[in-house]
Amino acid sequence: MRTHKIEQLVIATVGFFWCFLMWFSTAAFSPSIAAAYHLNIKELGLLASSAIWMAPIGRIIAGWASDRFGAPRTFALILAGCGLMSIASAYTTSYELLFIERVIVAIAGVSFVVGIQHVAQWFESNEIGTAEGLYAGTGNVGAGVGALLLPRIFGTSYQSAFLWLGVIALFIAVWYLLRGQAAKTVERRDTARAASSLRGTVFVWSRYIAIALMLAYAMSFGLEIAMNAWLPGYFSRGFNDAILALGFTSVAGVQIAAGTFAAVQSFTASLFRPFAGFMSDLFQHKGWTPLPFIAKTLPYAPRLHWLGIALILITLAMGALTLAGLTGTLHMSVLVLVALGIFISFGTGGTFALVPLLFPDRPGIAAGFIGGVSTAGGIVYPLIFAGSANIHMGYLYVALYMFVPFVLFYLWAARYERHPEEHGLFAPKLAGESA
Amino acid sequence: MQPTTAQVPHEPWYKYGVAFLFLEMVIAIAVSAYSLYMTFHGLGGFPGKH
Repeated sequence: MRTHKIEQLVIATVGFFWCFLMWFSTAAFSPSIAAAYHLNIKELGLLASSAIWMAPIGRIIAGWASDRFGAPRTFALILAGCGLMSIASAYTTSYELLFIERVIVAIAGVSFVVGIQHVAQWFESNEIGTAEGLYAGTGNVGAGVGALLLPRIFGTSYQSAFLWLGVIALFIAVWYLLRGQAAKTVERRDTARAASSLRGTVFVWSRYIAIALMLAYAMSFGLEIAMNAWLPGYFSRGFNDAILALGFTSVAGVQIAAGTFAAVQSFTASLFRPFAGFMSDLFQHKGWTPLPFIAKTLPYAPRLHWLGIALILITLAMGALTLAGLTGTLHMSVLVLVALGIFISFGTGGTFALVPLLFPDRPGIAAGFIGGVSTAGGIVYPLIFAGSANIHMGYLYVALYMFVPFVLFYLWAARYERHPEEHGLFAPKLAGESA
Repeated sequence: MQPTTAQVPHEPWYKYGVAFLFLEMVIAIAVSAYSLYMTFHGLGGFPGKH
């Protein structure tokens, strides 16, 4: 079958976009579901949080499966399984069953690492940043499109939405299976398949640089999903007077204003992501290596520097967010949030411009580990934000006690001038690497 | 995929990819600016009207 890498990029991007749409479709209709089943605020919170439950372990398995069986088969299985479950949930009348079905539909979110692996198997190192950025950034928009368009198209009829999302997912699954090809060359596909053993998994998980990239992704994507959940409540509580002063007097009005400020972070973080990948390519093209400590002679050293800059900017922006909050300036706080969203995109795009280069033989396993474990940040950060005595201080605490050590670890792990992937908790041979 | 420091010329698709990502950024900036303008003027904003 004749194909082109752009066709493979388009298939992966459309598949991921649709999976993201399914992933967050429950949240888009949560008010309708809450009204239909008379849910209280705790049950509503549980329903909202359930979307992320399957991500850490699911992404790890999906990453391994894409190396083992190829991305097209793995992605088609996810689309078909989640699509069928989405269709089933359209006809469910019991809330308990609906909840379980929607948790299973949320498995669609694990498809991210499968597409990352697929794109990595097709694009060369000089364009991988832009290619992965276009895939992930455009796909991520599915979440925003879902929140904006689904309630406007289907109104309160979440059953119709779940039905149509499921049916179209089945068509995309067939398309992916028919037109998708696992890798550019048979050799590349076979290399990934051969390296997808348990020993290969232990090797990746125990590498310092893989752990550093996982923490970098926890600082970026983990923070992004944490902020999605946290920010509406933060603005409505932390800036209540300022929002009232804008003219939003009702509870619904305050929610809309707070939701708008929160959405700015999510939107910029998603849509600037391809630009971050492009910047990684640009750093590579120009050979820029401005940071101290980090390797300067590695073939992909400039990309390591670009990610380092992104992580430092995220840490600084978190401190600035606390500062803006303490001064009580709503405008300043929103402005810092826009910057934070952009810096987060630099981190997410920068991380996955590196993963396929550091682990070219195991792109799926590496993407699964780095993209999976890091999502735990989405659960941890809001707990710290909510646990602070002053609602504005949580960002600074996270920056000082988590992000600064993460950045230092990244600088340390990225300092090797030759084969950073050979350094880890075990010697490469013990960890299953023969070379 | 072999990482390299050599400056490899980009393939033709690359310029269209870069154009598309800049379009996405323009959309992000426009939607964000519009939403913030609406909200800071008490007119509503994403995700609905006031």
